[in-house]
Amino acid sequence: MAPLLECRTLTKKYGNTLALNNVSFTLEKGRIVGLLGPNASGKTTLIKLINGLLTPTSGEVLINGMRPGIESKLSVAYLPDTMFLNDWMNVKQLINYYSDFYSNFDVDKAYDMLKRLNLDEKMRVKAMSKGTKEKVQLILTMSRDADLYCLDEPIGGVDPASRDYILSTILNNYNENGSILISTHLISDVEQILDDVLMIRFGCLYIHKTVDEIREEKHMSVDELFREVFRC
Amino acid sequence: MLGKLFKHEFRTTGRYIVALLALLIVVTPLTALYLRFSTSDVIDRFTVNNFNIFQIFSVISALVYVAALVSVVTATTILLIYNIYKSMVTSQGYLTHTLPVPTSYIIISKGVVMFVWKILSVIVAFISLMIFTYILGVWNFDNIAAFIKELRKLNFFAYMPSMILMAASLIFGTIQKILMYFASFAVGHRMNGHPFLGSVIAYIAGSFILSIILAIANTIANFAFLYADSYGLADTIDIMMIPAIIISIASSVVFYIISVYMFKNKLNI
Repeated sequence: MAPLLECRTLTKKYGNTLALNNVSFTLEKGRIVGLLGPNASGKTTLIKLINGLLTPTSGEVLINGMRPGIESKLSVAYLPDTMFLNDWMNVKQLINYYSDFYSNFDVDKAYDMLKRLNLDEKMRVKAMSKGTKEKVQLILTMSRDADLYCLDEPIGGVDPASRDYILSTILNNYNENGSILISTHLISDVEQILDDVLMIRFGCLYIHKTVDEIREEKHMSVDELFREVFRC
Repeated sequence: MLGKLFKHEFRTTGRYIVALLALLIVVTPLTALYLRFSTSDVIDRFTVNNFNIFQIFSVISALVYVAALVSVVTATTILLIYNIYKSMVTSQGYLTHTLPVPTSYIIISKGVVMFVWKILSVIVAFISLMIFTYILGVWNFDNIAAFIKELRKLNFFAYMPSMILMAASLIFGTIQKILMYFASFAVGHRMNGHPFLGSVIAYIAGSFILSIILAIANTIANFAFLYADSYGLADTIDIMMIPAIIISIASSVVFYIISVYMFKNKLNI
């Protein structure tokens, strides 16, 4: 059976700039994987390649054994690190939009999460604060029963209380038969929920290990290892 | 899925296009009625030292009408192009291109919706002009019959096939332009860090190539005149329109293929 995600000698260049260099790894189902690295290390590039938003310079990405396409778009739920929704739409229209296109979108789950956030379904995106927009995007992403959740910096730029809300929303709502690939450089906040770590350094895959392996072999936490590897 | 894409595309674009069309519909009778009033004898009574405030307002109202008329056609096009750009190659494209639908569906839905709005804006602008001139008394329903009679006298209906060719040329030309926007964005967005500039350059290059092809085709078509014993207006129209239609159809197919291929296989957002 094909792994959930497989990257084979994946390389991406922007002009002369090498963003990802010969990255190869596989990811199995039922894992929470931290995609760790400092800014500009290639995390967003890797996530965009998985979602078919970028074309690899060489190598390939396979999701359930298939290249990014209609099938993979249905099985991968993507949360970008930027605002991507139509700002004229209100929450109800967004939920209708998602349920129209994604057969694995759970409308009740989305409304349930919104209720806990005390968000009015008639509120337009443009009227929301930055934090609320991010939470709505997260709710839409996590309401899908996907095989793989690609979350790009979901806790970057939010206050600690919101971080807790975001992390609990992720943990309480993802499809447990699937996997989560969560990109961040705020290691200490996510370390306790991670099963595996993918550490990227200058576009190259530096480490791909389980959190337990790192603790046993290096005798340090993931946060400590990160600080050591990326010390300026 | 195509039906759902149409539904959401009409909803997204309809908000501002319907507002623009509604604005024109409201402005048309208001400005025309004011102009009719300001050109009547009644307002002469308000002339003081050759100065009449109502006449100044009549110039302003005429300008407002012309601006509304022009903006409906041009702003519709600009807003629709901006919508395509925004939803295809900016951060909104993250959602567009991760929908589980074929790339061709995305292009077809956006293209058809743009075509419908463009045609509708031209129709509304024409109706508005007819209402405006009717209120001003330029024409009335009584002289339509006389007008048709006059056209018959001029043997106008013999030119009907040529008129149909002209209409076809306009329709295919519109489709070609829409697909050219897509192809320009599809090619231009790959210019690292400057997707808009890249798209503009791609559009200019495409227009340049197309104008050369059209010029060559017209030159070849004009050779037909050299061997004709006699030719009239209809022949001239046909000889100009037929190459334009053929080129529009052929280039539309090329632009469509480029757009689907690039957005599907070479996406870089």
